[in-house]
Amino acid sequence: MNRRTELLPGVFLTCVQSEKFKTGCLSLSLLRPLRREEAAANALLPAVLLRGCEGCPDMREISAFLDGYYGASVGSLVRKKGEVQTTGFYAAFLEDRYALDGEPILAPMVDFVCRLLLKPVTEDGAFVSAFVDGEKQNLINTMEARINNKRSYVVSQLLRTMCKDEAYGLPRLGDVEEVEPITAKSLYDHYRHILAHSRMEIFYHGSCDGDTVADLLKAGLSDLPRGEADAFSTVIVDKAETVQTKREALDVTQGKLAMGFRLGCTADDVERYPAALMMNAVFGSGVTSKLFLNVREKMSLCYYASSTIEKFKGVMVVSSGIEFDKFEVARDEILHQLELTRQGEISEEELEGARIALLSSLKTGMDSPGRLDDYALGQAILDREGTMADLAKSLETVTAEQVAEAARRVTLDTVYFIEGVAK
Amino acid sequence: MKKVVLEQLRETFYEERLPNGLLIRVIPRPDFAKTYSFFATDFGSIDTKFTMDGKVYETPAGVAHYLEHKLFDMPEGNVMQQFSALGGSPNAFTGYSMTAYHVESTENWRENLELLLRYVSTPYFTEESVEKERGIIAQEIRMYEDSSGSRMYENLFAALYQHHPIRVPIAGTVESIQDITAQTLYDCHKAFYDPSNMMLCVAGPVDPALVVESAREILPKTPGGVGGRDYGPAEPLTAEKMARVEQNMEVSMPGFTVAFRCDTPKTGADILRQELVGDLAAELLVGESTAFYTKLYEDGLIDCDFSAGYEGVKTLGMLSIGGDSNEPERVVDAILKEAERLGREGADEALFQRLKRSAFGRRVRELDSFENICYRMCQSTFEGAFYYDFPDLYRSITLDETVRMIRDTVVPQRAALSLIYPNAKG
Repeated sequence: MNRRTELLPGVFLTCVQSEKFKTGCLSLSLLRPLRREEAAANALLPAVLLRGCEGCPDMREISAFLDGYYGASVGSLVRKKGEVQTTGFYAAFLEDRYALDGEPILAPMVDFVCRLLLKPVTEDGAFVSAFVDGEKQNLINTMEARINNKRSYVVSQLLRTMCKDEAYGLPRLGDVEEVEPITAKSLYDHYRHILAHSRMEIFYHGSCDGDTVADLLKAGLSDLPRGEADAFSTVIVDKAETVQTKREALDVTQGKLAMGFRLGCTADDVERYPAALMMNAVFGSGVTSKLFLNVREKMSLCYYASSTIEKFKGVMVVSSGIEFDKFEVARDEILHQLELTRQGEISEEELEGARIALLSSLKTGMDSPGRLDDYALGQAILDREGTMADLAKSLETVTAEQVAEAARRVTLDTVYFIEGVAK
Repeated sequence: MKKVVLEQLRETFYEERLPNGLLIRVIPRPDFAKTYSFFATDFGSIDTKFTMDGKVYETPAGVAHYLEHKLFDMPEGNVMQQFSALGGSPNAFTGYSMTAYHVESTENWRENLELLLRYVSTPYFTEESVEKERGIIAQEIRMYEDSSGSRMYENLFAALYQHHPIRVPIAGTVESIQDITAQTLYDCHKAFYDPSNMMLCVAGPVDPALVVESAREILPKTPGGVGGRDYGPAEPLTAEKMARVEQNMEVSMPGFTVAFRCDTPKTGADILRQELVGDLAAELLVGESTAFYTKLYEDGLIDCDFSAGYEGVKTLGMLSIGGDSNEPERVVDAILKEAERLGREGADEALFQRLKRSAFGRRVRELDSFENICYRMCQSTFEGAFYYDFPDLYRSITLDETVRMIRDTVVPQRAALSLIYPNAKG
């Protein structure tokens, strides 16, 4: 089962040993405060590191290396958890027992990931400028491409508006303006700083035992500089004071509505959090939710209308795709359904449907290395020990009244609507 | 029940063919909490024209997808709520050639499976409920219309083929779905939801015998007929020149996909082989470990979203290559030149062996996903192939064969190019 150990000062390894999969995986994350001055640099860093390292000095060599290990993959992994940004790598590879000639795969992969992190190709005390320029452009393209997916774009615009004075308003990868001034030298200096001054969380899931993995990592990370880690924290806004509404016109055929709420609770609030999770499920997540049953099924207003919560920051977002002229109808109906939840108009089916869906999702999460990784990282950020199984247990006793109480703590902050342009 | 053990893949599954024609495969996964049941029919958006009991049916575009939505209705109400009570997460999707219904659960796997079998085999449609769904599906179609990825592919297929129904979007259009009635749905269900035209796959900590017992009990005892499909005349493989289609949308930079019509495979086994060879051909031509890819990437002509591979819908096969680029036409020209060079000069055998090893490893890892394993099994079966043949096929695929595919296929006469450009600013 889960085991978290401190490998080196400020470097933690969580190991889940399991023979269930044919794939082993490893992620390595540096934990940073989410802030404008470094968000884009943190997002850029793994992409630049993936351009070459000792032993594999260019992309082609890296690809050839990974092909040789049965199509192993290594990618950049940048996450946003509340006002904490993590940057690093994710690797997935075939388990040793499937190697055609009995050769090891895990050991060289761990070594490779550590080399990517610690032994980049440099020139004159800086990263290779061609690598940095190329990856800057790619990152800018990715940022500009946010608008291509309207469903996620509207949520990102909503959060930007709602949290414009909070770090949380920053997108996961930062913004274009912060990418542009980065140079091969400034990024390299930043890299050296965060290597030494960040807590590192490593996650391994696979058939190898924890001690062996720890030894492989200790060997690979022996050159990791260690200093005092920079602190991070998330500012929580408990309640919205006024509601702001913003509209944006784009050349689209379907309107996109997003509504941002302050949840009045975070995952750190262990007493209240299970009820908030249940409230979100009753109100807007899944096919037994009020939003699905009413906004979609009963009123045929949309193909999707659902709510999600961000447990670190304590925000809830409702998002839906609707006809342009249904903006007010949909918004009012969504608020009406929240009001019913507040008043405790929660049927037995809604409550139990929500509970069983959440429990089932947590149990299937334990079958998913990616979700175990994400959960472990979240707990590490919160400095909490509980597992998904513990959370599941705490959901079992949540009552309808507690759900209603959780809904009463919710306040609407911002409404964002994308409508068509007049032609 | 037949037990099949695949030593190299360390996989075991159980297989049974019921008297009604249904093929069942159960993949035991005793260490997992979840069970995934996948019930699929060999019927997709391209099956709009068919013959049944001597009568010819021409149904509106989008009918398979509409049917998928409405099948969730039962005489006692929408089946979603029943799944919720059992802790199952049901969902479904419609593709060009397959419609599949699945449920994932950690409790009551058998009740969830039985509900799945029952609702998919019970057509129940009323004019009111069909009418009610029209608004929801219209919004779904609008969502795809605003998605540059969907538009790019739909435009591509329309340009690549002359008359095959793959030219029409899976969900149809807001106009085409207006003509769908309860009767249309009943007709299609009768023609294609016969057990002999379907397959059931279950993966999880389950007893295979119980799966078979449930299917035996719930589904019809004997096979009915299956509709005779009509996709129109054979598609020509070559044209005078490359077809080209472009559209402006609210996107940040130009996107492109170029696709090349592949030879028509003759048997199911050929379809699977062509898919594997096609993926290798794509890797050999433009994969990340080629000098060609590195050059395009370093010149800033492509970025990490660039990808290439084989895509097949039954006997229609294509090699497709796409991504974002500020100069898509230059990238396409470079690809055509590189294909010509490879066709002439061949490629390095060591590189090819490494690419095969890589492709093999990725396919083995894919088997970790219950969704993937079930989908692959059903798709191969409907095409007349056996998916787990892939390790043997890899052993027999040669560099020559792969280079030949590039030489014959990656030419302008077999190509269509689909472009999405950003709207003019201002």
